[in-house]
Amino acid sequence: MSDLRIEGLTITYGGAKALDNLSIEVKTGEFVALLGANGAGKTTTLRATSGLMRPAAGKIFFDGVEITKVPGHKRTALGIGHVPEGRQIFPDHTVEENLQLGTFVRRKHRAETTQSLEDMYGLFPRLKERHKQAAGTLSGGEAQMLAIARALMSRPKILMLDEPSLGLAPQLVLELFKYLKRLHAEQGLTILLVEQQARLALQLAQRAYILERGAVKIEGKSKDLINDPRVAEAYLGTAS
Amino acid sequence: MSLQIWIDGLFAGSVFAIIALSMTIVYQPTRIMNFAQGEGFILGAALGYQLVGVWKWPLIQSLVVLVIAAALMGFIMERMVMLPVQLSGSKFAWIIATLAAAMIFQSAFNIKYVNVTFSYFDLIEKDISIFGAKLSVQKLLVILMMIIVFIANDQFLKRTLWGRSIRAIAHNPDTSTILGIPTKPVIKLAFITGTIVIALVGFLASPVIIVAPAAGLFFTIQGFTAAIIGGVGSPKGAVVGGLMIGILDSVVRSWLGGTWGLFSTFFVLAVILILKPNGFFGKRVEGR
Repeated sequence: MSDLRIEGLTITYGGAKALDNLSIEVKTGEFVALLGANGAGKTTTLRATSGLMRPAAGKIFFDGVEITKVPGHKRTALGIGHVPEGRQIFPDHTVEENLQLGTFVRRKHRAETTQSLEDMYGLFPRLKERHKQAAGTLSGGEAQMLAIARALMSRPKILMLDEPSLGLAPQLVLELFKYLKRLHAEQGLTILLVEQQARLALQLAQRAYILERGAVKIEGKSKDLINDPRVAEAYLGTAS
Repeated sequence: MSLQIWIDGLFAGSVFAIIALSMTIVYQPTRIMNFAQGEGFILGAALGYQLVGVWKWPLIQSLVVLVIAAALMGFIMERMVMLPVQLSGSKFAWIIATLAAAMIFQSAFNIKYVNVTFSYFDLIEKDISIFGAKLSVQKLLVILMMIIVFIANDQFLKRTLWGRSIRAIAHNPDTSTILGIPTKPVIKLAFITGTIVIALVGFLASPVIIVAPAAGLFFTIQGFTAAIIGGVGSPKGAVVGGLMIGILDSVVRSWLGGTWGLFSTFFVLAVILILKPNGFFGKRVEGR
């Protein structure tokens, strides 16, 4: 059991409500997409789940335990992995150091973390080629792979990704999504994906929530949503 | 020029280098130059004077009290600096917050020790002779401490996962948090460690140099200058910068007279800021 459940979350940000009584759920083994226009509250949802933002109201449960008041750095050890918006790799650290920082919560199990490092190099061979290079010298696609690999190093039960396709060439986006699909299918990783490219995300995910102004506007199975005109409307902001 | 001048410069340089190192320790996770750091030096000197000089306490006991007091000061200082920084959200809040902390501590020292300079006897009254030049054991202790603090800090940053996380926190605290790095406790610990280091050098150096209760900012500025010359954030830079201004000050003093010492330090600072704006070992600090 590693369900993520968010109940009635409200977050205010400079007087405005970034999230307004938002409730979503991601079940163990699911691949869920979180969609919506800019400013709909997708990033805020992930940041609150990671403990980077304090909610004004509402509760967050993970693994059946309430984590609303657990400090951010302790949530990683519980199994919440987060690939932040804009990748946020550490440019002055080498590729390998970036990956090692991902093992921070498992630092006492050295043999295991060495194995994880090998696993990541197996999964992303390009990172192995560049393991001694400063991460700041990587291309956009490589940097995104590194950000994902770094989050996986903590052995998360759920991986939350914030617009991983941002700034990548279409070809790379497809490659990236292939990796995500593999992680979900082969390793049984639970995934919560925030995306601007709704159509692509809906092809990958099993279910999706579409946010508008900090609350869930539409939810459903991807195959039902993919042809739903309301989804396009939510993006164009024509719905009211 | 006699060897003595260089040895005196090496001692003064070691003092400045340790001050710069202690500022570097705080800077590494926070990117804050703590202008209150020199107050830790005064704390060390004041406690040395009070415990060893006046009350004649044994050395070990005095050191234990010193470390505890410095840890407490570091803890308070972290709150005085980081709370306004976190609450204001301004990029520049640290400047006024650290200066305010410096003023508060300075006033406290002035109230307790009006008209006192903290000097007491050498802990070990012994001189070593090096080709006719004199080096007291007290000064040697300071030089050794500089080497130890440098190696410890440098190796810690390069070789340990904790050291790497400190560099990561400086770059991006939020991303560090989501990787499971306890950013806030690490920052607290940096303030505490930095204050213990600078208090120890204040304690060791005050039998040799004249320390007044209000001199904290002077030592801060010397450490700051050393750090900038060497490259802010780099332990190697702190040592090179500290030794440079210490030796330069000593050489210029003996050559042109006392008043020229400080002038030469800041003259060199100005020249280096023009030629190498990031210091000898500093990296360009990228914006967040």
